[in-house]
Amino acid sequence: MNVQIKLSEQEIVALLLKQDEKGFNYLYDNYAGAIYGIITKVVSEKDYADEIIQDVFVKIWKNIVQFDPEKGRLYTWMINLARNTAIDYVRSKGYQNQQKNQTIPEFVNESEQYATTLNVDHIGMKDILAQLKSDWRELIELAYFKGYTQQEIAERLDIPIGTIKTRTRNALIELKRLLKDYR
Amino acid sequence: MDIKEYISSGIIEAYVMGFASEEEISILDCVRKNNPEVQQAIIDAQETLEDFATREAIAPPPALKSVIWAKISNENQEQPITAAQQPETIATPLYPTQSIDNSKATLKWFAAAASILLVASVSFNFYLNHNKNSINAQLAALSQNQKTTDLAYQNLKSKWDMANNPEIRTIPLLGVEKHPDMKAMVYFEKKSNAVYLTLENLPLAPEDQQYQLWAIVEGKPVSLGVYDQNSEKAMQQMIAVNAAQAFAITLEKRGGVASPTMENMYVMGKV
Repeated sequence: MNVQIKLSEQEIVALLLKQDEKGFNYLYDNYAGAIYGIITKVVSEKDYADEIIQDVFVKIWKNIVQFDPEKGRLYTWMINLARNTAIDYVRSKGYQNQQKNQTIPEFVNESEQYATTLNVDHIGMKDILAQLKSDWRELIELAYFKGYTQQEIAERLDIPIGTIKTRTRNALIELKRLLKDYR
Repeated sequence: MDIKEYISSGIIEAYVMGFASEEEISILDCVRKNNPEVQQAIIDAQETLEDFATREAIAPPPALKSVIWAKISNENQEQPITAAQQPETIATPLYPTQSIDNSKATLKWFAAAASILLVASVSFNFYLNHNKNSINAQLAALSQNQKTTDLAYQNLKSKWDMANNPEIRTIPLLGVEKHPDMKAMVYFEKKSNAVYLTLENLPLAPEDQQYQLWAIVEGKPVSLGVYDQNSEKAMQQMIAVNAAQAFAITLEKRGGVASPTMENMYVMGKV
């Protein structure tokens, strides 16, 4: 797969449905970075992220028959699958126990190791969320990366549900504007 | 609410970010099919999140790719043995091993062959029958599924039509002190005085009881009839009423009563 060819989403889906290894290679080469990026926003330790990305690709492979192009694009479907898998993982009992048992020095070590990985790939790039207003950023983090319901967010931030919706809308509009420069 | 207001309410963003409520999701899933503007707004918002993911991509450790492929290949091999392969394995041990007398041997051979055939045929029949049963079950499940989806769609559509009809007033009936989270909706058509009711989240009434709708006219309760929870229709037409000041629902004995039992009131709403 050294030659870069561009496949349409429809072609990727067809390859995956045929259980063709080429489909996996293409998918991985083109989307693993984005999927890993999303996962690392949900879990903060590298080891867990490495475990979750394996689950996500196995799930994509197994569940591709359930993908419905009427409901959105393959990319969006995969992003949400990655996000939900990571959120479920964070909520699982095992993960929460491990977090409790984590001694402090170990924890620092792990996040340092992780920070190095992050920096290598982020040279010269500023975190785009950091450029958003803080209450917009907070909302995106709670809703999108922590998977809170609107009820939970409303209680946590002490704002009405209607405000959450309009604020999310404004946050996404601003995010879109910021992303334009990178396209 | 017109469609522009609906789009700019932030519901689309809540939907694509995954925190819209179940009810909001089912309504939006229905609206997007019939409204290209809403559909486009959803796609736009999803694209923003896709661009975000692309921009924030981080290369995973290179070794992971082959690990994942090995896992996937493994999964593929673990598929169960199909029923069609079974008759062979049952039949093999029946072959004769030695022949003493020629005619006896031939007879033995025939018997063996016949029993192989019998086993094979029985197994194959069993397999066919099993297959047929499972296909029938799948078919029944699918058509049941289709029915439920159709029904949910019809019920949502009638609500949506009501909500968008300028001649119709929507009056939410909210839970009274004893039932704070309960909700029902009355749809009131000004011209004809027609009244429609959906129960939203009111619990299923006991066998011998029914919910009864009341209108308050000049301070007095007037019965608008009982709601049939056995019906598949979520939105039911009630008795028409002129100049109601409020609506309320009480739980009464099946068939309804002449005057409301106030302590069994669930929800009410002012016009």
